[in-house]
Amino acid sequence: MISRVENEAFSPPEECWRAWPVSWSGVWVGALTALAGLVIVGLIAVAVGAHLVGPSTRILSWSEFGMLAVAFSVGGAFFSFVAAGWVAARVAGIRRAEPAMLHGSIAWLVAIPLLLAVTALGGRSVLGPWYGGLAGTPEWVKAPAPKAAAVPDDETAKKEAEDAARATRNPALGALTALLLGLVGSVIGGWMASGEPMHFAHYYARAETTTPRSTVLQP
Amino acid sequence: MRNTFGYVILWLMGIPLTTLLLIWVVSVLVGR
Repeated sequence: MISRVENEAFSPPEECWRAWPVSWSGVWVGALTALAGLVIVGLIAVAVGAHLVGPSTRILSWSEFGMLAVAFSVGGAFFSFVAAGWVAARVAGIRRAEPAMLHGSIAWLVAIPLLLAVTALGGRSVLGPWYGGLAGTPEWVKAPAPKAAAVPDDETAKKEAEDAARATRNPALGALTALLLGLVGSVIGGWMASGEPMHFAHYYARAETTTPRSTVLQP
Repeated sequence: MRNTFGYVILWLMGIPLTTLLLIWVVSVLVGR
């Protein structure tokens, strides 16, 4: 009987690629779940009066942005993507934590360009003001740039310029927070869907019980 | 080994509540 110890010194270089399969069905359904969740939470927030709607929904000052609005924004961003990650991993049928989390985060990746498109088309009033930071102006509706830049020569013009700066910075901060919360949520959702225990001690124990890299092969 | 309900609730409640707490602390510190 031939026995061979395979370890770091004897293992051949990895000539063959070991792909990590991606279930695009799960990813797409997950991304759409995130959008649906954001729309539903956003509409509830508008209905209960947490989010302001109207011609000017710019966040000029955080003091105007109440704690209820913050709670809806945080909860909507997080739980929509938890649902997205859960759905992505469940549709893919993954029973292991790491690829399930990966699918959750890929669903988040797919949802980002969808969110950019939706906010550019006016979805800010439905999704909530935090996602307003993602809204660009479509090229086909942009006004031509003026020949000379306006110089703030009086107090009104200076205040207008400061408001514009704040209205750019605050939604950008909100959108950044919402997107990062979404990433955390999608990973947590995927982890939850895998069915593996959500505490780290399990993974240390699992690593010890699974086959180590240095194994004795007996053909 | 099945997932335990307590840890799921811990993660799902802990992250948004921690975020809200952080936002509140920052808003108090900044003072607006």
